[in-house]
Amino acid sequence: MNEIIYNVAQDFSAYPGGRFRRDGANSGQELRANLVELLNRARREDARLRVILDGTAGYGASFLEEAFGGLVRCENFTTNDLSRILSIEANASVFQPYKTLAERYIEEAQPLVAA
Amino acid sequence: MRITPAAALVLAAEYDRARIRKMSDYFARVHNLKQMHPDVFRLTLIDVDKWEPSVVRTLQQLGFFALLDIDYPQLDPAPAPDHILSFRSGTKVDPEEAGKLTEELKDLLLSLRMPDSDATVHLQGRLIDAIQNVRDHAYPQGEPLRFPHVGRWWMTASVDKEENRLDVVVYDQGITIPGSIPMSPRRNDIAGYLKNFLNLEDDFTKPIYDGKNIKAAIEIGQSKTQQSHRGRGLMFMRELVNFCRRGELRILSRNGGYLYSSDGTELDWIHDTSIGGTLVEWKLYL
Repeated sequence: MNEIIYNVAQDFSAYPGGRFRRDGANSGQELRANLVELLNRARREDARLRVILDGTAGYGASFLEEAFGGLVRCENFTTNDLSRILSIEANASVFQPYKTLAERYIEEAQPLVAA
Repeated sequence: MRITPAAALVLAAEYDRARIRKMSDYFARVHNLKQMHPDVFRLTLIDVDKWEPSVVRTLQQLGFFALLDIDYPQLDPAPAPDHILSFRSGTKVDPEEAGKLTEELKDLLLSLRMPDSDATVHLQGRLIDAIQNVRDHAYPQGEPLRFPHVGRWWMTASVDKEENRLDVVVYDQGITIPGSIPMSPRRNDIAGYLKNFLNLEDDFTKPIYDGKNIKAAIEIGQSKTQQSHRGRGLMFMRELVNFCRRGELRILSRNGGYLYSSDGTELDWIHDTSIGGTLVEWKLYL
């Protein structure tokens, strides 16, 4: 399977921010928009998106939930979809808890019911 | 006599609010820019030369005199255990501003030859979430606060070399955790928690239960509700203390206080008066 590599610190920002674009720069909502584009590309190309969390200044829970949980909640990806085309990585031990959190947010997210 | 960095931050925030409101009131009344004189924005202090030197040193390091544009003579660098960083303030979630604070802390730890740990990475995320909480809850539109607010957060940090300890403080002048509960979608969950776990049958929104409301807000944030993707920030912030040799999280909000230690001890209490907002303070022993 081909790979698409996305390094958050280098390709997005070394300073991840808050939840929504309206809250300030480098939001989880903004990262999610980038991930959706790459995940759709991964689908088309039968590839896997590897998101690397190492190297940033740190992650807030609200950022991770909006970026990753939001893929299920807001973007109609299922957990099965994501298990095939997405892997979240943290090579340094300091970032392992945030990989675990991001994966948990995906597992726990409930799709929003359309009105 | 001394002033803690937390108390100094609250004092600086009060003066900052007064300065900003004075400026905006003046701009609202004066339309001719030529009539402006910088001194009209100034706030003044009384008898600063009689203040306790250790208090003045702390306020200087915090940036209090710079905030007021007061050119106060630098005091001799007498040995003091605390190295305090200049405070930051804003209205948005500013990850680069938080990043500058944590990087300054890292540099300070290095210069003081204190143990290098990953604490600043874990701290950065919690600072972002503390500010996110201010954005989400502290200043709800249409809700009058006791005093006019300026919609800001303030933060600072200090290092105590003798105790190998970082102190980090975030403060806002908002509606407070207990004050926000009546309009929260989690109101019934919090009421249920207080009734079931703390046998509280009384009106839980009274200020005498503010300490317990802070604890409940943290615990309920972890529960599964319709809004499960929100509200986890307080518990995430609490978990920071587990990444150090030992640590404490203290939250003061309205009349309430809550303390969590890394050995699992929890306390809650109330004060006679409100702190006028919410103060979150971590003490991290490296």
